[in-house]
Amino acid sequence: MFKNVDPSDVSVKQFVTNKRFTVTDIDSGSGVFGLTGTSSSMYAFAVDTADKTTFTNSTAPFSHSFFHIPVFRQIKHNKAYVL
Amino acid sequence: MYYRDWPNPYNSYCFHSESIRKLHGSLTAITVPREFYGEKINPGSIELTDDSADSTFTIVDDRKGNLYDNNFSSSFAQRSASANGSGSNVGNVFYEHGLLVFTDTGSYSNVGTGKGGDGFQLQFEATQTHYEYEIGVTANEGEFNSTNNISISQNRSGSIRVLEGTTNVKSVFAPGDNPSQGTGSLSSTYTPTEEVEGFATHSEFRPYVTTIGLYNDQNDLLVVGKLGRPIKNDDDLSLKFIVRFDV
Repeated sequence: MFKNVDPSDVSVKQFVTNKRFTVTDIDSGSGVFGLTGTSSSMYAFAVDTADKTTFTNSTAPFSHSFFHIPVFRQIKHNKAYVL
Repeated sequence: MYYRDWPNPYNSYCFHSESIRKLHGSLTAITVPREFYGEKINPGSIELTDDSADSTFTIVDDRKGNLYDNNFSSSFAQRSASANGSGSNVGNVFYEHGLLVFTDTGSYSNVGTGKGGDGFQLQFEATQTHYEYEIGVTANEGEFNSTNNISISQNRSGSIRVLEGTTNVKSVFAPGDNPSQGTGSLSSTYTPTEEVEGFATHSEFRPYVTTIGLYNDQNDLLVVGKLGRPIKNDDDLSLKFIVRFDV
């Protein structure tokens, strides 16, 4: 047994909610990272020797590394960060 | 708004509002996952307590994308002390991206790195828009006054007929020869009843509405609404149910 719902019987109202969070620097397992960025050339960038900040986890993936130069360049140049 | 090279390739920035952008040779940043901040960080809600230096910094935002030390709120308000290291302008926040960038290279150069005694603690409000759907479902007089519920089927008979010779009887779960005891062997045939229980043939019999399902145009069941108590679907009345849910 089916029946079409009349569009006039459908109402959609939106409302905005805010929820307060508190995170710390030891929350890296949840994706909160404190990063460092350094301005430098990407020429001859080598992952083995490049400066990076590494966060470790007790579960896989066991570590995350963020290279300083790409972090800086991404924040400086990427228009994705347009407000 | 974004950092960019033009016209000064080393420390210029682009702005079209009251946001102050100063990018030097290094920065620190705190990234917050989208699962926490939702659509954006609520402007004006940021409070960062950082112990990366000898003293504890309390850094807040001004709702316009600027981060400053709360101890320098007076000079920040006057825009009189925006020099590097002054605390009146330590960086920027990108609300829609959950990104706090600290561009000060002086006293605040280690903010957000977790260095120092107690690292940092960041408080913020996530913003998320929710939608409240309210859908009126009408059962006019004489509509939805029958039921397929197995409870009206005689002896709770199923509707599947199992013919003699069906090779995989188990797949249709034909009742056994002693189903009330839960024992016996499966029957080789099954004939569903075409009758309903006596109470369902009464002239005053009306089904009760217990559940309302909402489907999309592809007949996918999207929403199931359960009534607080069953409502008798009287033939003489038009009933309207309001299904309300938030997403």
